[in-house]
Amino acid sequence: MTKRSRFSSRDGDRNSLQLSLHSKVSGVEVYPLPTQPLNGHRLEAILLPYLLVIPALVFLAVFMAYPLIETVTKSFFAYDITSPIQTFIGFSNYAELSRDPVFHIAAKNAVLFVIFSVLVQISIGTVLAALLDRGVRPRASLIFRTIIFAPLVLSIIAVGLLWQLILDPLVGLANAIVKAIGLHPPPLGWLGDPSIAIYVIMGISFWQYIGFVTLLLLAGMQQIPEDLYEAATLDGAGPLTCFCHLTIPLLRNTLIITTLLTMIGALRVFDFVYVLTRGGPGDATEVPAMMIYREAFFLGRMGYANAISVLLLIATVGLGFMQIRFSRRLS
Amino acid sequence: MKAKQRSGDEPAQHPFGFGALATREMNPTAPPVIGRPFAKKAKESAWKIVRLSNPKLLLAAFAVSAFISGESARATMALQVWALSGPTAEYFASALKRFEKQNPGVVGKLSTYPNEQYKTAIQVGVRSADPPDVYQNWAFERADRMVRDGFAIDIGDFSKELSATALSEYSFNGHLYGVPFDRHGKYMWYNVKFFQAHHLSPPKTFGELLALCRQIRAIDPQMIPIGLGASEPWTIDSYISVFNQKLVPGDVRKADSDLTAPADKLFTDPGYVAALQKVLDMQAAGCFNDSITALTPEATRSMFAAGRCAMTLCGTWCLEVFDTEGLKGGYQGFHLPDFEGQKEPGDAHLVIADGFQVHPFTEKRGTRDAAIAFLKFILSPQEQAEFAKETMCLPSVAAAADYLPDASAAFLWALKDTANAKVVVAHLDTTLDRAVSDTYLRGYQDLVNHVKTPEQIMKEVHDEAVEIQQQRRGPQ
Repeated sequence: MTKRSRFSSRDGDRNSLQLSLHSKVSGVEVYPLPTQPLNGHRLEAILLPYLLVIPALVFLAVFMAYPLIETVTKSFFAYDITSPIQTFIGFSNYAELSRDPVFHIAAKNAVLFVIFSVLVQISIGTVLAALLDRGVRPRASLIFRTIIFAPLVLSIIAVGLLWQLILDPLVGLANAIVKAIGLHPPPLGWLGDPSIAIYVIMGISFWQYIGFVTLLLLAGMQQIPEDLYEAATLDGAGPLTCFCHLTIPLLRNTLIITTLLTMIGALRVFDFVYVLTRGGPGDATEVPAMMIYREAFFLGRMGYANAISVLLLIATVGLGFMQIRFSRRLS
Repeated sequence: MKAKQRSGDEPAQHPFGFGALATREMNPTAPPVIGRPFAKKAKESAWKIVRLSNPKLLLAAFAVSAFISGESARATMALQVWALSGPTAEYFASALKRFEKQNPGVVGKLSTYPNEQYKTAIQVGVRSADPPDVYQNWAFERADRMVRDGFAIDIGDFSKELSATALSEYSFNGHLYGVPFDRHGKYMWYNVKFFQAHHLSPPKTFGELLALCRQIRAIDPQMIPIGLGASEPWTIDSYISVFNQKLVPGDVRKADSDLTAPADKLFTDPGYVAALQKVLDMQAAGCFNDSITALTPEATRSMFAAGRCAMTLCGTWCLEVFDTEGLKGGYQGFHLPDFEGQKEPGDAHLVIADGFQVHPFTEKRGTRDAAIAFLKFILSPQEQAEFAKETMCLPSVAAAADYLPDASAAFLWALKDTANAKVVVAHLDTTLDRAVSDTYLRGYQDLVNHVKTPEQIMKEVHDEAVEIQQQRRGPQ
């Protein structure tokens, strides 16, 4: 029987000699790794893993590390997108942010978005996923799945324009429905009223993304073994008990990941605000990502926009970190 | 043919002569030798060709190729033009082809971007290593910014092509840094049929305008006197820009927009607050529809075209919408009326000028003359008429009217009225610093939603202006 040694020697001829002597004593044929100076084969063997990793490293360095470092560095400067002059101003951008009433509104809206996203999307998504998993017959489940997931495949621009039409104060369906049931639509319009516009945008965002949340949770639920439900049913557990004491605890990891994704998505929301209100009326629907866009590309204040980006990054990373800690503690 | 016997040390030869490059494939035990033998062989082959060739022949070939490349370089002098996409871009594409025919040495390269993208693209593009020769840019502050940043050159004399008022929109420090290509006028359009049916006439003063609104509400409570959709706040800016001209002294406005006024005086003239108040007065008189900030400007145009509102303040680009959506020429326009006892020049005309500037890089590239020639070309009355036909936009040369026999009466009236305007007002977002105008514009929506008072808005504008002024002046 031929056996290749697990031990390799790269220390030269002496070790290789010892190994070959040892092989004679034990009676097992041993093939030490070549100990000759670095030739083409050996160099290739050493370098190949690094060479294979280099493209990914270069990609990460160019598209992740460099922009990140640049963003953090440039947040301490004042400069215009077109002007070559960059002035170091220390923490002034951050100090200005702390005083900026528009940023306060944007931060408040982001927090609201995160809270409502988690509450609404996760709770409704879990119920929908449970219904699709166990509550309806397979054929009906297919139809409901298609209906729930359909908004997800639509372009955000198309969704935005569609909802603009639905919410139009003159010809929109929303006003017609509200009037038909004997209520008064908001006099300033659904998207024109500063006190409700952000909640309307949230609602539209939830309408589109609830399918995604449901999809993730449904995938998690389908991993739960069927015999657990059968055993619970034999023990007298009803559907609600099964859901509360079986589905939810076993879905914990999926719920954590879905919650994290929902929170990060809510924190970075931009597209719906851009399409529907552009931060208006006034500053009522301003969110950090929209503010970054406006400050950087409309007002040209790149340093200030970088400072907002850094804060947004810290919030996103912080959320992710908290989520991982929480997940570990539960495990 | 018998294959040549090889010794173990001799590298295997590729049947097509790639030497040792292919030897590992044929003999895996051979040491990896990459590149060098192939390069060596290629080099040897190249020298072989040189040695075998007639030096005179090579010299002649070199001369011919140099001549050809020189000719082709001359024949393909590229003129890079950047413009907005949409119907105007289609016109520029066809205009460039006509220009190429007239100037065989020039090949036009058109790059177009949608409106919002263009605002960013042009800022980055002018700084790039390969900037456009000629680029579309808005007049007043935006054009001036390019001049201040060194991205626009003096283009000389265009007084034969354009009126002095039109040229003033791109003139800074006594030099011309661009030309307006299309100049949209903004008018209060009214439904002629409705006005005639109820014996109404366009108002001469602001007081008459308020009375007219009340009168229309009394005639038909369902009829909206003036359609206003301000989901995009610039529609309110159309009112405020004109009202500011009427209520704030010209020198004060100039000092404020240039941020040269003393810090404590910036945007503190009571006329600014009064101008904002006038919009609230119009709202109180029932002039506007409900849900102003939820309605898009496009919806307002359609409302007017469908006869749901009697008037609307809109640019000359709206005429096509009015015609295609039902009114078919049944409208006429008037300027926003002056205030009673107004001290500032009256009959001001709100104009949105959109034109071209020439990048200084053209001097290095040698395309400066071609760039200016292109501007002269597109400003000829024939080309301006062609532009109007293709886009339904208002050209900046009044003489274009002579080549537009089929244009509607309202279009021709607006063309002549805009071209001959004596008192021109620009939108505030084209004359003020971006940050100041942004504060102003976002205040408008809060104004009509009664979230902020005129005084609060002007306080915010003042604070922003002071901050920008300090930034521009630098640390004292």
